[in-house]
Amino acid sequence: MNASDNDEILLRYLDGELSEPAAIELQATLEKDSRLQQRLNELREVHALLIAATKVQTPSLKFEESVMNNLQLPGQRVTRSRAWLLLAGSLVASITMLLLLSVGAFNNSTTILIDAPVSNTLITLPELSFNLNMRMIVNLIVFVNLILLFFLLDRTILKPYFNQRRSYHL
Amino acid sequence: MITQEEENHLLNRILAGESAAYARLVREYKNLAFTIALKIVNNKPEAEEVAQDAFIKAFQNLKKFNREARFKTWLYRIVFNTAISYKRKSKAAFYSIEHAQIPVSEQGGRDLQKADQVKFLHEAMQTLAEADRLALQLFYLNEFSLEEVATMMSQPANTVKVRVHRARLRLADELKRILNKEALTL
Repeated sequence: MNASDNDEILLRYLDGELSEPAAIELQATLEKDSRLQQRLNELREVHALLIAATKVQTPSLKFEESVMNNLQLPGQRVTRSRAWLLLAGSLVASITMLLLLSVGAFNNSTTILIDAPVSNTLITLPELSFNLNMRMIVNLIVFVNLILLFFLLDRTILKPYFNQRRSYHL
Repeated sequence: MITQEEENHLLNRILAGESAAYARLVREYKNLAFTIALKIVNNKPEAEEVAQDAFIKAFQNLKKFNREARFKTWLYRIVFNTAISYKRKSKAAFYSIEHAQIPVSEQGGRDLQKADQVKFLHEAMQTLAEADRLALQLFYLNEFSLEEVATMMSQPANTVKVRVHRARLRLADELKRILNKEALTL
């Protein structure tokens, strides 16, 4: 038998896979062969070390809660790449809007005068005329959008991120 | 420990729309799912993320689970595949021994020696092929049969058996080499 065959038999012996007669025969050989005995000791040592070193580990205390919270939104979970894309898109949109506002891009369309008398042979309506302060409306839309943006960022990125951090540190 | 009968009952409830029943399965299998992920990604926060993702994937694909195998076998296979693809994406190939279960030295020199041996064992593990190392670690978790490890790794049982045997022989040789080297530096 070569060394490779011996190793195979020794490992099967350690795993308890050898039949009883084969195990007795091996034990008899081991008593006579000190090199084989030494090899068995080496393998036994590895076996014992592997058992000692391989333990089942436990995740954080909030593991179960995190899984269950994310089950509520199947398919809608924000992945890291989607979160970054969302964050970058939101920032670009808001910065662009603020820049446009600061350079006065909407100043020329401050007021729209609707002055449209409606009359024909069948019907005559009173004159319709009022002013729309477009600058104020644009500012209002930007303000509402910024609020929505911060809400979105909080719900999709910040809250999940801090929840995850908190659950890991617990 | 959850029986197959209880497991089937839980699965029926979940499939009927009672998603809260899934918590019982998460509680039952979270430790091993986390451990498998940790063995592959070698980083606790990432392992936690992988294990959570795997549980969510399992939940979302529960209708596809045909119940020929145990739920845990199916779940751990999802954990294994999720961790492997996560590792490929993150390319975090370095190995940390921070999670190694090195015994605390409470009994003096003997434990210290054991701690050193475990440290050397992890050093020796770096010389193994990744698939051999994973097969060995899953096998030594003492929670799975060789067949279950093979199912998880999507490989024939004989291949996994060869991997486990080869890895142990390699470790024995590598440990001998490391210990000889250490002895020379003393």
